[in-house]
Amino acid sequence: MNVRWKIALLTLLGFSTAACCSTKKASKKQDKAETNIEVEGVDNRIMLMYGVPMPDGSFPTPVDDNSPQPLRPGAPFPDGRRAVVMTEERALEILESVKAEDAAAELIREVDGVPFPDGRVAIVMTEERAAEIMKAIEEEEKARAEKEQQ
Amino acid sequence: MKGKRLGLRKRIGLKLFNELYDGVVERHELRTLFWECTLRCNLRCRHCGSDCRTDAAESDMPLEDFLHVLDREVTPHVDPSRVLIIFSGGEVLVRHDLEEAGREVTRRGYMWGMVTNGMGLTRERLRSLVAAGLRSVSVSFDGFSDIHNHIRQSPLSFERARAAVGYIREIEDLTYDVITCVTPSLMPRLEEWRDYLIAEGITHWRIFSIFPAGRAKKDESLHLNAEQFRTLMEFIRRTRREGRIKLNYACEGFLGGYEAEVRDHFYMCNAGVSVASIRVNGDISGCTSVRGNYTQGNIYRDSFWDVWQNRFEPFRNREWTREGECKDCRVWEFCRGGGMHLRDDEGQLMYCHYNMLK
Repeated sequence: MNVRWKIALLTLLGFSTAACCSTKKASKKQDKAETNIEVEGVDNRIMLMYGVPMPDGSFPTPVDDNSPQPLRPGAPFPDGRRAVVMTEERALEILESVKAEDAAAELIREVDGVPFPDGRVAIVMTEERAAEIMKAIEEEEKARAEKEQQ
Repeated sequence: MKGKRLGLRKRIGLKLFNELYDGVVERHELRTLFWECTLRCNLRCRHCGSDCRTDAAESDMPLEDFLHVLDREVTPHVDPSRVLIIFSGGEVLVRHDLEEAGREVTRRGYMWGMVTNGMGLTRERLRSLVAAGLRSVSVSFDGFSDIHNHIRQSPLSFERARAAVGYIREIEDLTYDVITCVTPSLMPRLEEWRDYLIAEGITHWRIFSIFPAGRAKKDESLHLNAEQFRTLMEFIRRTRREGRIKLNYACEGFLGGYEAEVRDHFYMCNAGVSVASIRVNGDISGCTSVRGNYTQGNIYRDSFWDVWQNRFEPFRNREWTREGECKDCRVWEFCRGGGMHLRDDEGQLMYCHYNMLK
C-alpha cells in the first residue's frame, strides 16, 4: 500500500490530524499520479515535552539592528508546493482518483489480456506502455508459435 | 473508561501510522533543534529532570560555539525556515545574551522559541525578545499558588508565572502555551484549575506527569498512581471534547485506548528522528531529557551533521528495547519501547504509561 493510500485511509478513519505529521513526502514518489497530497499548511509536528508549540507562520520576525534580513524567510518547500490542510473531502477526492486509475487500468487489462506486474494498483496507462505490452504479447506469441512448429 | 483496550478502528489507524512513521525515521529530517544554553536556574524545583541549580557546575555554552555549529554543520544541510530552534535550560532567561542569540538565529532564517518558568520575564524583556524574533514560548504553570509555589520552592513563583502569561498574551500572534506538571495534589482540583486557566484567557495548555528522573525520582509525593493517571487521561479527553481550551498531553508514552484522544497525534518518540539537541557541554543527543549515556557525539569533537546523519542508531532502530517487560508486550509495535527519556542508564524502562492504564 503506498503512502497516499495510508494517509487517505487514516483520514477516513478520523485520524487526519494524527496523519499530518508524517506526510511531508507523500507526493514525491507520485510522479505519474494525477493528484498530489499536500498537507503542510499547518505544521502538526508533535508537541515535545520540553518543547514549545510550533509558531504560526504568519507572525513577523523583526530584527531590530542593521544586520541582513533572514536568509530565507518563509522559504517555500523544496519542491515548490504550496501547503494545504488535508481534509476528509480531499481524501475522498484522492480515493476517487485512485479508483478511476484502477478502473482504467483494469479496462486495458481486460481488453489486452495482459497480467499486471505485482504491486501496481494505481499506475497510469500510457500509450508507450500499451505499445510495450503489445510488443511483449507479439513476441510471446511468436515464441510460442515457433515452439509449436518445432 | 477506555483504558488499555484498543478498538479495531484505532488499531488499524495505528498500524497505518506506524508504517508512515517508518518513513519518517528513514528520512530523519532535522525539524527541531534544542540548544541547552545553560543549566543555571533561578528556581530549584522539586520535580526538575535536570537537577538544575543556581550555581550549575557546567558553565553556559558560549553563543559563538552554537552559532559556529549552526553555520558550519546545520544551515548548509537544511531549510532553516523548516527548523525550529528551542532555547532550553536551566532557565533560559538567566542568560543576558538571549536577545543576541535570538537575533542571530533569526538572521539565519530559523524560527526560535523558549521554555521559561516566568520568574525573570518582564514586559520589557518579553518585548525585546520578540524584537529579536521570538516566535513561540511556553510557560510552566503547575497549579494554584500553594501547589505551584510548593513544587517550585519559591513563594513568588506563582505570581511571576501568572504575570508572564499575561505579558505573553498581550503580544498578538505570539504562539504560546502553558505547561502543567500534574501532581497528586492537583488531581482533586484539576477541573477548577482548568476553569481558572480559561478565565485567565489562556487558550493553549499542555499537561505532563512526572517520570522518575532527576530530583523527581526521589520524591514519591509527586508521582501519580495508576488510578490518578487514568483519571487524568479521562479529564484530558473530556476537556478536549468540550473544546473550551486546546489541551494536549505531552509526547511521552503510548496510551493505548487514549491514543489520538488526549493529544493531537498518535504516540511517537521523535528524539533522534527529527529532534536533536546540543547540550550545554557540547554533547549531541536527541531530546534534552534523554539521559547522558545516550549521547551520540560532541560538537567540540565531532561534526554535528555527520553525527546526525550517521549515528543515532539506538534512537532510530528501537529493536533493542524489546526486552524485559517490553519483550512480550503486545503493543510494542506501536510503542517501540516508549520514549527514549524513559530508559535508564542500562537501557531498562523506568516507567510504562501503558501499564498505568490498568
